[in-house]
Amino acid sequence: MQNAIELNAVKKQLGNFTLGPISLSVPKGCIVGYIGENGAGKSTTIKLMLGLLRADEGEIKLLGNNIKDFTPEMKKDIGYVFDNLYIPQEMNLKNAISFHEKLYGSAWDSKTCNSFVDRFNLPHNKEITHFSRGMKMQLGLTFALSHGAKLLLLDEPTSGLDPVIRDDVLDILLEYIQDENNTVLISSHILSDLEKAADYIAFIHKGQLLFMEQKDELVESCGILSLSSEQARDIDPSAIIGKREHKFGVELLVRRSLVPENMDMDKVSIEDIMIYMIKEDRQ
Amino acid sequence: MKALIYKDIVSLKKALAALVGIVLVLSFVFFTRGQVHLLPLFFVLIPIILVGLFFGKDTLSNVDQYIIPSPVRRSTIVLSRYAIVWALAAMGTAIALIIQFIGKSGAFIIPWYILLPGTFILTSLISAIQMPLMYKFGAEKGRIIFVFLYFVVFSMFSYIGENKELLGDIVEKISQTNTVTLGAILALLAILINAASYAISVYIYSKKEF
Repeated sequence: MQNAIELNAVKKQLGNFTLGPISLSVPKGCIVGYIGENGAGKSTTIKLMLGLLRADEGEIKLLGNNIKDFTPEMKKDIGYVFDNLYIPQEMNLKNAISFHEKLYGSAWDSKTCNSFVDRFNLPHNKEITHFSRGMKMQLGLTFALSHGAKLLLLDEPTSGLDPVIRDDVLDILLEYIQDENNTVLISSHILSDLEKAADYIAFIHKGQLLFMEQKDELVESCGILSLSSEQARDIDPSAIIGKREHKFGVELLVRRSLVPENMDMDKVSIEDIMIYMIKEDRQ
Repeated sequence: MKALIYKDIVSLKKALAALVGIVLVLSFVFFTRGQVHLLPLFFVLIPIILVGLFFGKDTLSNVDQYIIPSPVRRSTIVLSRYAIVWALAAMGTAIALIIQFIGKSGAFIIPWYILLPGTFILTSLISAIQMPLMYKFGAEKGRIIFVFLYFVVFSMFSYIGENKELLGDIVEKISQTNTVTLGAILALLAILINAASYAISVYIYSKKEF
């Protein structure tokens, strides 16, 4: 099966920061949560995919085509939403829709656009500059979904939004993914959102992709052990992914398969995995 | 490209409306003073003002980040901006031709095949210099250049105003030479200047990262 996203040994140097080399394959028909701390390289990766930055090395393919060979027609298959709506803020809804109609030509689906505008109850006469952050995000998502895109690249779309709007956004992504030809890559700090929607989790840290695994397998394969310092010494070091020490002992994030089955373990969240791994690296 | 021109017009609708108002007022002033022939020179300023405003707005809304992944080529993004400059230059040129043909302004009688490319060069030259600089250095540094160009244009206006006779002499001398060849050279120059400026801007913009 063709991958929706393929990054092969992609490398980019930006000042002191180096992204990669990163290799990543995202199969069609899934939602990938792209996680990592601030400055880890999430936005840089998405900008590389969108052609806003150029890779120093490696190859990027979206929907089977090398992005260097992208034609305007091919770009219509890619939808994108950033953490802000980067269109002239003097536009009102009508202007913004008209702009996108002209931009996407025959691919533009007015019916879908209008249905989202109604669903989000977006104001028609207000200039975008007077839209709330949530409204801007809803409008951005409306535009990204109104030209038949087969791949959505979302860079922190839910940051700064209230839980209700975030939930709406996730619902829409889950509806979108019902078509098995559609794929979503979403970077976010709000890991509970990704826990709800993502099929895969890709974790980037200091410019390196540490893993991309199926979310359920990832969560089930790990557990948290609360032990005394003495007990912790008996644990196979290769089982330990991360460690947190406190005055009553230690908490270990471990691979379940590498510790004795009879040990009592707490369930982990994606957030636990991210925090433990980053803190482990800092230590 | 339609979308990009539309975006530029909508984002600057208030400034454009003000500019139209200024042109109308200036037309009236020039007409009452019998200086209608100076009106096309105002079209030298309009593209400079607009280019500065367009780039300023783009920087403010970070619109490049939005339109580059959209179904347009980078060269088309640059072309859309040049299209506006060229449209304004054509407008200035058309006004110069109309004034000449109506002949009520007392303007110098210049053959149309010289007036046409000559006015086009005048009205697009500074923008042709300004645009690659804007693409290279961005709106902020571009504004400094913009102020500098303002002085150049005003000095030019003032020089022309004070040296009508000199201009007349030059035009007379030129008109005594082979005017058709001169017209052809001017036309070629107009095309070359604008084509070179466009090519440089496309080169700069295609290398840019956002």
